[in-house]
Amino acid sequence: MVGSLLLVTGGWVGFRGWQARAHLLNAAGLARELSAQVVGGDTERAQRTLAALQDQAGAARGATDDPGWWIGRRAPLAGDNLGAVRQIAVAVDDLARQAFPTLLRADLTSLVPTEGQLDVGRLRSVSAELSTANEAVQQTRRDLAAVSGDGLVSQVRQALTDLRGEIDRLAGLTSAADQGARLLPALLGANGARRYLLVSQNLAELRATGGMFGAYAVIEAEGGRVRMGRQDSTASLGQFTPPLPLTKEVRRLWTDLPGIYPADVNLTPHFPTAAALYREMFRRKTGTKVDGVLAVDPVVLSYLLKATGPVLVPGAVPLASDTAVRTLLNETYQRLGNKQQDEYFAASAAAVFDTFFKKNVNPRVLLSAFDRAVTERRILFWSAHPEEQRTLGDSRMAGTLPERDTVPTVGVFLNDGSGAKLGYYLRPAATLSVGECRSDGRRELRLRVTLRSTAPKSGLSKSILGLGLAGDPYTVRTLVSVFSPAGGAVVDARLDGAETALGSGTERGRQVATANVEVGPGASRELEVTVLTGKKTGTGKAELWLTPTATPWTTQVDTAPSCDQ
Amino acid sequence: MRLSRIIMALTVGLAVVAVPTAAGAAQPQPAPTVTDTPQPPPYPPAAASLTVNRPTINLGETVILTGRGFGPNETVDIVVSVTPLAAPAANQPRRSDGSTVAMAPVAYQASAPLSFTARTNAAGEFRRSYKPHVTGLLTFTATGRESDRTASTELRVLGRPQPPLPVTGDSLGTPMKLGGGMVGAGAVLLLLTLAWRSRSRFGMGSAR
Repeated sequence: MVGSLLLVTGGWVGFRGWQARAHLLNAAGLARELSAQVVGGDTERAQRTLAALQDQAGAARGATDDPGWWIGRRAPLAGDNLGAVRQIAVAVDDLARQAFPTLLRADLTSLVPTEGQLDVGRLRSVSAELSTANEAVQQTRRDLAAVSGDGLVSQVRQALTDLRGEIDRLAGLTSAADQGARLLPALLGANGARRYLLVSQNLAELRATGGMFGAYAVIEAEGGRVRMGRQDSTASLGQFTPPLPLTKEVRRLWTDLPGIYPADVNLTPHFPTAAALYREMFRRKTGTKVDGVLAVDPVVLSYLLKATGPVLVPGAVPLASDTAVRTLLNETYQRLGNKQQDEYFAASAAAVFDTFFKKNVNPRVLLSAFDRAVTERRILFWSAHPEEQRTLGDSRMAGTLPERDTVPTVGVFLNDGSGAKLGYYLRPAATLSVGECRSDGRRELRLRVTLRSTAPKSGLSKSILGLGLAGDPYTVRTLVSVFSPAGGAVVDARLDGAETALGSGTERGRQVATANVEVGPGASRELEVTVLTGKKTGTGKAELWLTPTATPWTTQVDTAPSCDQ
Repeated sequence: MRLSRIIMALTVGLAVVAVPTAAGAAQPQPAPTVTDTPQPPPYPPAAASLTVNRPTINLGETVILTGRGFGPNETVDIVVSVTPLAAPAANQPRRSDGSTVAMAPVAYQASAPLSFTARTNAAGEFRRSYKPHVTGLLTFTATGRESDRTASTELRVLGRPQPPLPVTGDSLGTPMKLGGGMVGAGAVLLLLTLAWRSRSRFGMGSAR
């Protein structure tokens, strides 16, 4: 009698388990579909997919929620596994019912300005919704974290690990989105007028964060309405003696240069340092205090022009996505005199500004352009308000050189040493290979940086050749700074196989070694550097952080198995 | 599940901090050209520079310091300051092999001078080798006596290299695989025996 009861219960639980598995599999498939539809902007279909997903998730939850299952969970051995399956079903159902509908409802188009204004009221309601969704995701994450993985059969344990990984990522994103949405109204002047400096990095003259801050514009934001104020070139800020105070670390690496010249504030790759210096220089020169600094480059513009189509510049060549970088970083300097250059730049800036606010721009294309630019570290933002800067944290947009690594990161930053606009002709490449495990708990990394110049041997204008500090005006002199991973070291460097003199210093817990690499027209130089990770770094992973350049880097990272294996 | 991409799209949307601004962002750079900026060139390297041939060495090795941009034929004073490398994590026990570096007492390193001089040539350059007797972060600051130009650089000195560990964590792998293989082989043999016996019993293995 007891035996047959057990058998029936067991059979029932097995049957329900099989049902739950089928529903969960369906739900996973639907989730993928939903994601594709959201990215594709197909809201109507996405709604239908979401309804089906809720159905399946609810059914999976239901299948694991009857008396038989309840008894089964108390059984030895099988109990833990059944419990874990139930938790997974509950987590997926919670997400399908609480988080996803909110996320789907949040109207992306409300995040794009119309008629030069961003609707702060709508933004606030989106922010409230995001906050609810984030709360739901964080709760699910905590619930799942409480499930013990011990004693589970491998299939269930794997499912649990996978789901936790996904939800961790989701939670990271929703919390970032939540914080961002909370920050945005204040940044756009909802609580009082704001003023920012928009600086344009000139990638033809390299600096660690991209390029020299060639020009600036004052941007004023009030109640979500944004307008562009005064524009001028960085040269108009002059120079500062005595130099602005710098940290000891920055002074040792770059002497007082970043404190003297606005064009040198970003010799350091740590954007907050550069932005704060530039803001202070602007204040001393003009008496105006700004609330933050936003940096962009012509490559960002080329991405945005994809969304708008070509922009007509009165009396000059139109700006188009494919040609913008070449036009702005090279042809203008090659063809026009100094005064005409400035006029062309001012006219094209005004034309682009108008286009963005008066034309109907496809918000999805615009958003994907921003996504790409932020990922490539071509849009950087620093807020002078410490609490806002804290919220930005270590996000890519903040350009903060972290003092700790999650994955050992080697930085390769380029600073122009020729005083010219030859950076446009550089074709950079970097290969990073993870090497041997050392007995002191560090790991060796081998970095190979190749700089090739496509500059011609003759025929360039004086504006492009500039000061020609490398001697031959057609030779590009680049100061290549290699930043070790946090707590690590740079051991040695060879330029084309021969030992080379290195400037050496420290910034934010990383050793910095700087080599002078001079590349003649059409030539190529190779710098090989041995780097050590910090202690207790057995991981076989590694990452590169590079100066964004006019022609993107060719990169390769060869990982290795962890030292613990 | 690619659900996170939904959120990714949203996050990106929030990058719209930039949207209005980025419109202007678009604006290109009237960069100062050489002709209209009568400033001294804002370019590194500065007047005087101090470099090393290797930024990190092991204890017992020698580094070569090179100075450039000092006055011709002048005496340069070089001062060395020593600080420990990054402090070890609080819960990490210190080891005695020198790799986790504590501040070493100054008297202990008497054999490697903490200040010395170098003489530049007519071009204002000098080369000097230095063999540290202590691990840590060494900062060299060179100052020309007449030119008063100064430059500094850093050197990390790690503990003496140790031979690689003879046994790695994977050492059990081979015996385990061997054992597993033998068990597997045994099982196959057993099965074969059984198969052979059953075939014989039913007379199917016979060629007749």
